[in-house]
Order: sequence, then C-alpha cells, then structure tokens
Amino acid sequence: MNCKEFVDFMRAYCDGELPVDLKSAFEEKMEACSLCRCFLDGYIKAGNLAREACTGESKPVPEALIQAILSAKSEVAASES
Amino acid sequence: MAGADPTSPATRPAQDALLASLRAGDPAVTEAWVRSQLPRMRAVANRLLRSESAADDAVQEAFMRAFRALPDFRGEAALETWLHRIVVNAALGRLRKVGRAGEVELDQAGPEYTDDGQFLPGEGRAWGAVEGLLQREETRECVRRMIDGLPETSRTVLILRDIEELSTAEAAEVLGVSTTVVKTRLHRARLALKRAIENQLTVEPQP
Repeated sequence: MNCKEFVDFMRAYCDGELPVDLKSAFEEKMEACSLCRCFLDGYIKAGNLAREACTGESKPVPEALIQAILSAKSEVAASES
Repeated sequence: MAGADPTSPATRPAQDALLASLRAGDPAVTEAWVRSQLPRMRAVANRLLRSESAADDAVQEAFMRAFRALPDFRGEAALETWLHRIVVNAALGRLRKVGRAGEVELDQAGPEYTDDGQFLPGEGRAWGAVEGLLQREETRECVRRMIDGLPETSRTVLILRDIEELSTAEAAEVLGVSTTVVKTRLHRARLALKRAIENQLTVEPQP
C-alpha cells in the first residue's frame, strides 16, 4: 500500500468499514510510515476539533419563538377538533 | 445521533407517557417539551442554514410537521431523534430552495503525491496536542468559520455525519443521494477541513 492508497482508505478505516484484509494492510502501512501515521492523526484530530467547536454552541431561545410554536400548535389542534 | 433507545425497558415507559400527553394535547407537557427540545434543534438548523432567522423559520415549520405527524409516530426511534430528523429535513429543504445545496463539489482537497503514490515533502505534517486549542472561544469560532467556508455539498455532509452523527445511510436519505456519494463527500470535506486547520491555526508540531 502506498501513501495515496492509505489516504483513500482513511475514511473507511475511521468509520470501521474496511474489510479485514485491507484493514491489516492499512495498519501495516501505518506502522511502517511515519508520514501516514501523522496524516491520519491530523485527519482524526481535525474531525474532533470540528465536533467540539460545534458542541454546546446553542444560544438562549427567544421567548417569541417558543410562543409562536405553541400558538401555531394550538391552531393546529383547533383545526383538527 | 445520540438518543435514548426507545425500545429499552428503562426509557420506553417514559417515552410512552410523554407521547400520550403530547398526543392528548396536554398544554403543560407540550410547552415543557418544546422548551426542552428547542435549544438543540435551533442549533442544528442554524448550523445548516447559517442564519438565525432562517433557522427559526425552519424549526417552527419542523415543530408543526412533528405535531401533525405525532399520531403516526410509531416509536421505532427516540422521540428526540425523530424530531431531529424532521428539523434536519426542514433545514435542508430551505437550503435547496435558495439553491445553495447544489454548489460545486470539492475536488482537490487532498495531499499531493509523487508518481508512485508516496507523499510529497511537506505532507503528513505532525499534529501535537490540540485538546487545549478549543478552550478559547476565538478558536472555536475560527473552526466554525472554516466549516462554514466549505462548499455546500461537503459542508452539509460533514455536519450531518461528523457533528449531528447521522449514519451514512441516514445522511444519504435526507440528502437524496447515494451512500457512495456521502462517503466521497465526507472524505473530501474532512481532508479540506484538515488542510484549513493546518493553514489557519497554529498546530503545535511534534518533535
């Protein structure tokens, strides 16, 4: 396996989709090539940063939005009864 | 996506009781449910639409769809997961209306290689510890801007798979594309984000 093939298989490896034989070849390459090891490390860490940067970013919900939803819900209920 | 298993003995009675109250139109339960779900659902819509007003419209539309569909909800998924899908669909519907969902694909976000497929010098840059980076809101905002800067098709797949944690099949279904397309777009998006982070953030090199 060369570096390009390693990169091509990275997503499947990270998502647990590589068949056993390819997974072994992938892990052998990872063991043997420090550049591939570093590249995979950055690929995983970039995903972790994205997830963490977007976690817990919710802002206070405007009361007007809550009331608009509850009011629309009441109208739906009234029209169905 | 994270969500309680509605079939587990521990959560089933609670969900059944909540569902019964919502279907009966109990005002107090309905209001409590709306209030509890809104922060997360609004954040999801805002992440996809990049506009608070558009996100609020999408969330309102999604709750209305959910209320109308409640009688048919069969409980195969957790209620929160079901609502989340409705919100994602409402937000993606709005994205399609404004034509942003059809923007160009990322085609060259990956590294460069020699003719025999080995990394060119400079690729495979080592990353040190990144755990401390996100303690600063400025850095978190910077990463969010990088995600927002991805082409639409890549950005939506990255959000759905890596942030909202939909499965490949679920992402393919809500986007109306094949699972192969989702996988390809996701890989390109991850590579592009990695490259953007390396270019814009100071990633502490390893010795």
